[in-house]
Amino acid sequence: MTAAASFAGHPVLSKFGQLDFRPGKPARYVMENGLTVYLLRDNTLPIVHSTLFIAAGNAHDFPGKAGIAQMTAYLAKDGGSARHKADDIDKTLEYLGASISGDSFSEETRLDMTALRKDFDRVFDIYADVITAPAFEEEKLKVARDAELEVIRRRNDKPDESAVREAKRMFYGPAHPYGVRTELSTVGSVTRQDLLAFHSAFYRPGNSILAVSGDFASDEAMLAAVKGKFGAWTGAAAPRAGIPAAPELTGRKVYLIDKKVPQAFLVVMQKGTDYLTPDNYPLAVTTDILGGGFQSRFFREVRTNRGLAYSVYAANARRKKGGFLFSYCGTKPETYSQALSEMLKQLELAGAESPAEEEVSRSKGSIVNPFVFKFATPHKLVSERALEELYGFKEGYLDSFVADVSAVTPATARAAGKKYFDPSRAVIFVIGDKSKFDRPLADFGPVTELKED
Amino acid sequence: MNLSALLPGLLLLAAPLSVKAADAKALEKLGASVETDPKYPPVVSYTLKNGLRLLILEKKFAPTVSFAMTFKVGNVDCPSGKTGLAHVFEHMAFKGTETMNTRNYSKEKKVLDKIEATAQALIAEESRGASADRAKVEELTSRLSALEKEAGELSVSGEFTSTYEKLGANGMNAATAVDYTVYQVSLPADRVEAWMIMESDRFKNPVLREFYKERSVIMEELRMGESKPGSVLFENLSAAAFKAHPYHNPTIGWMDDLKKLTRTDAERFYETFYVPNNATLAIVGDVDAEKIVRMTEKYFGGWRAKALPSDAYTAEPEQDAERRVNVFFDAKPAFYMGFHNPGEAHPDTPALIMLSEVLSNGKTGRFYRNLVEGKSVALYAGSHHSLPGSRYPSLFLVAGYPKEPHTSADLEAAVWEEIEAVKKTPPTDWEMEKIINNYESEMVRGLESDLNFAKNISNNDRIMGDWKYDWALLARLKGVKPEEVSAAAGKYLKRSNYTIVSLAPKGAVK
Repeated sequence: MTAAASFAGHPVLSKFGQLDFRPGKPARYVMENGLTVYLLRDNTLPIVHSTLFIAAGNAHDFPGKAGIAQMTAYLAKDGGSARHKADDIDKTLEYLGASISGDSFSEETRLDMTALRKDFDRVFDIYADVITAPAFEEEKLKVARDAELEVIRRRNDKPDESAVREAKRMFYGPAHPYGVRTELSTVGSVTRQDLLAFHSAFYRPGNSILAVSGDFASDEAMLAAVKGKFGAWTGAAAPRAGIPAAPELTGRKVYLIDKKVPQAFLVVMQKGTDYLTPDNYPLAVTTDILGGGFQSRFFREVRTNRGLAYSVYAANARRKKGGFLFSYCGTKPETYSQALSEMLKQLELAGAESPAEEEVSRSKGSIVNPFVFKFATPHKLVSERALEELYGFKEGYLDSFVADVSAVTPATARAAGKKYFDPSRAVIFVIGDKSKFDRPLADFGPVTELKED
Repeated sequence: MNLSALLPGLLLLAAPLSVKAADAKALEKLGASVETDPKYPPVVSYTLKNGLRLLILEKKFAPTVSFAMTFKVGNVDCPSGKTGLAHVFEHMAFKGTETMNTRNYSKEKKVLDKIEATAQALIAEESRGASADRAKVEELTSRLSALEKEAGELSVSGEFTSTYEKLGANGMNAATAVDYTVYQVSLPADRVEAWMIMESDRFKNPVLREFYKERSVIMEELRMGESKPGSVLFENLSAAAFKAHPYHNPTIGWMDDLKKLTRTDAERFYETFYVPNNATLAIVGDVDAEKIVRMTEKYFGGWRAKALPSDAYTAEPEQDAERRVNVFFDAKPAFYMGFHNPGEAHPDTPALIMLSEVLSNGKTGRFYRNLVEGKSVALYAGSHHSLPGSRYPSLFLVAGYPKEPHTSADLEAAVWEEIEAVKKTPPTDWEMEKIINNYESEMVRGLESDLNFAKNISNNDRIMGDWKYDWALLARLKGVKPEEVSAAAGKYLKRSNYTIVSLAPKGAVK
């Protein structure tokens, strides 16, 4: 790193400091049934978006039914509702160029709706009905289940994705809610009764936040529409099964799937953080320095200086009960050990040495200045505000984000590095053609060879 | 492959977006024109004397601005034996200039020249294959590595990208396609001038340092693609369907060509195609159009125009054969079908677009209704009327992923049944109206993301010759009659114009 760079000193370029941006605050209401509503009116385009965030996701799958959160989210709309047959919903929405879709993530479920302003009433009526009274038609359940089973059969077609999934599974353990994988048996056993039970357990107003943005007449008018469609929906915040803490790693575990593919896919997993720890601010800086962008150490050492990879990065995947820090690289098997050694070396350095002032300042800029893009459209803004509340962040988390990241110093970044980056306690997962490896994988720790399944 | 992502994002009324009369007058005084027809967003267009086209849309929600600069140069323009060069240059355009990424350019240049001479000697020796002098190869490799180290000490690696990161860049990237190359980034809105400084320097004075290391990165990108079923299918389909036209070649290039590419090749490529009269710049966001016009003149006005070479490449001869390729690959079965289409400007193209949508638009599309549901033979089946490009006649593509216990052969037969059905019975009015409604809705959605809209209008302006191309296309689509869709299916989706590439699991190899 250099401070003597010729170009950074350009009078125009150097005049831009850190951006002082505070995201707007959309109106927030809580309805009598407990549903929280965020509204942001913006008439620039004749379109309305709505997202219902539900505080339950894949981590809350019922035991033995991995995949049920996802199928419930898909089938809310695809399976029809009390007042609308599934096929009629598709016909109406697709004729209008509107959309309703559900998806589930680790800890939340989203149900999204988009409609042109002129079609809002009609689409919103369907949207509310599929959320509050889904029918889960048997025929559509079969279609969705068959599709999910085929997706499972195809899960090893893309080895880069397999490497991350399997690394996570070995890191948490295959039974942990964050490590569990859908299987033919779990998806195959999902019945309509299961979907109704999952829906009744979690799809509740007290467990949800609705975010609506776009072209509507006034907040009052939209709130009346929301009350009209969601007012009779009932259910308090849902009790959820506790998620066990992530297991403590005491040493290094190395896993290999031997597969004849043009690249070797390397994943290093370490213990990460939950959403709320204040460690996240310095850790975000340290992780960015390590593997966040074009100028990160991974990128510079593995890609730019050695030409060993196209894709190489590190990220902190936060979870409510302890997330994971992961480092990823795709590289040719003949030089895989150079890439892996360099990654481990950089992970070790991140834990051992204080980053340079210049690195910390660059990284803070690259976190703080693009923060505004999280709020670049009306719907992004309401969604960020809804998620801030859903994840239980402290009041004003988004408002003080810039100040909190700005407060990171090389010393606090180092402390976070020391606390979290220790490659001697990590899971290393490799998928690659071991007959071409330039060094035995055992050089990196005791290897367990697994079969792709 | 998400085929819907390949559809152009179209636009509709955007009433609250407007340019004030006083501003419009000032802009016209500068020589810019302001779109006033309320059918379109009020885009400001301006052409510099050197031919650089500038499009601006003032759009204020967040204090951000998005930039897209499209050059009409893609893999199709690479000289023979130098496939992948367009993409290689795109990577090199992030390596700085005579003032960026360097400590002392005059000293650095001397070392860079030595690197080039050494690399060329190395490539020449390695190209002799089995008769190459191994000792000489080793000696040159080690000299190259020492010189690269020396050059590294004179450069500030990553300064260009790091400056952008510090400024708060979002979505900084570039993409090379068969037809074009686009450079994109979004910034906080107060940093427009920073962009002007960085980009005008990048395109006027690029220095292709770290060339041979970056070439290795690109070889990894190629290997990454070779691990993915979708890329493998697409590469094989293009190679089999096009025998003569350069759409035959993968955008990433053939590995053997990459091994022989030199920095000199990339510099020549740059000098030929990276000229202002081959580019359109679109700027969308919280900006002042008048200031943008002045600033663009200041920073890009001195960039010199040059005549472009002819792009009348070898036309693909008419196909009169069914071509079948089985690729042995370690993944579950899948296939891509390709039918030669007549090119974007051809009068049959709107009917082919409607045909593609009738087959695969949404859950009410015929593929979903009859193949995913109905016969239950597919996990997924999709289509697109024109891949890989639109500058030349291209391919109508159908992608199929069978669902167990069904095979690719079952799904292929089922797809053909759908095609034959459309040939016999024209689509219903409902199907036709649905497609038009979807296009209109997509036009509104296309305006939501500033960066996507910037890319849409810069690409359409430069490649299709009109930033309003999508509106013109919508008008053409509205004019298509159902029987024309059937006729287009009959004319193009036939066995003598058919290529199919299937993945067969490696275990199937005997």
